[in-house]
Amino acid sequence: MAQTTTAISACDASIWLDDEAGALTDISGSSSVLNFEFVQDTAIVPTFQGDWKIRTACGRDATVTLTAVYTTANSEAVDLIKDWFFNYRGTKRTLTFYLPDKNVGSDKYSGEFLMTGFSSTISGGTPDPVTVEMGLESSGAVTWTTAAT
Amino acid sequence: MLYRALADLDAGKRVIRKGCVFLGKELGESVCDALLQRGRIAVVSTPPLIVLPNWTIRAELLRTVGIVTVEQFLEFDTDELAKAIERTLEKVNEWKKEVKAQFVIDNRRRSG
Repeated sequence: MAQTTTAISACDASIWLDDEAGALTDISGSSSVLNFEFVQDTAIVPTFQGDWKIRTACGRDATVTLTAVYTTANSEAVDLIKDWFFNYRGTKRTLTFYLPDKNVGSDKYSGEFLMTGFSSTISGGTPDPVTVEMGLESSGAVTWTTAAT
Repeated sequence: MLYRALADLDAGKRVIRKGCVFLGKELGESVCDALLQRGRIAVVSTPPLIVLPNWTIRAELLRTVGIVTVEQFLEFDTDELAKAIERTLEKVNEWKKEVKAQFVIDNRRRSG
């Protein structure tokens, strides 16, 4: 098979998160890593006289880990994360991200998420920028579409 | 031009589902060009209305106003067409829906 010519990098990925008013806010410029995992529940169906396992499938789930750069400006990633955790406990927010970029034809993933928490390690002995890692779990369907606007 | 969605297309306020057909003007031709390049939509070649099942009489009627193909029919302004062929707006919309439905391919795989 011919070698692909459409491999992507994540340089221009676009990440959007709801603010407290429910307005999707572009946090691409203040976040650096997004890890996403989609899983499907499966189970083994045991039968007599069958040496190869057969399986059934049911529920699906999504988890996301977002690494944000600790900044001091309003409406940037860490500002949204802090506000969400401390002032809006238990509320769901929309997370949307586009790959490879936010142009027509790109993949768009979107869903409602609950925050499981956020964490950071700060060290006085390093010049590295401080980062914050936030965990998210989906609540309801996460959709995959092609951006057409 | 008429297109078929080869993936679920997020058009802002609505999603055009994979397999459905839509007119280029619904998204804009520049958007369609970009989606074509990415292989997310395909051009649909439409036949004359006369070959569609149970469309002989309607095809003859529409031919009186210069409409021959499915694409011409779908692209024709609905208000204007309803007046021209002396049918209600609802009836013309119903016909358009019926024609569109004939070109939808439901190719989602389902378990079971």
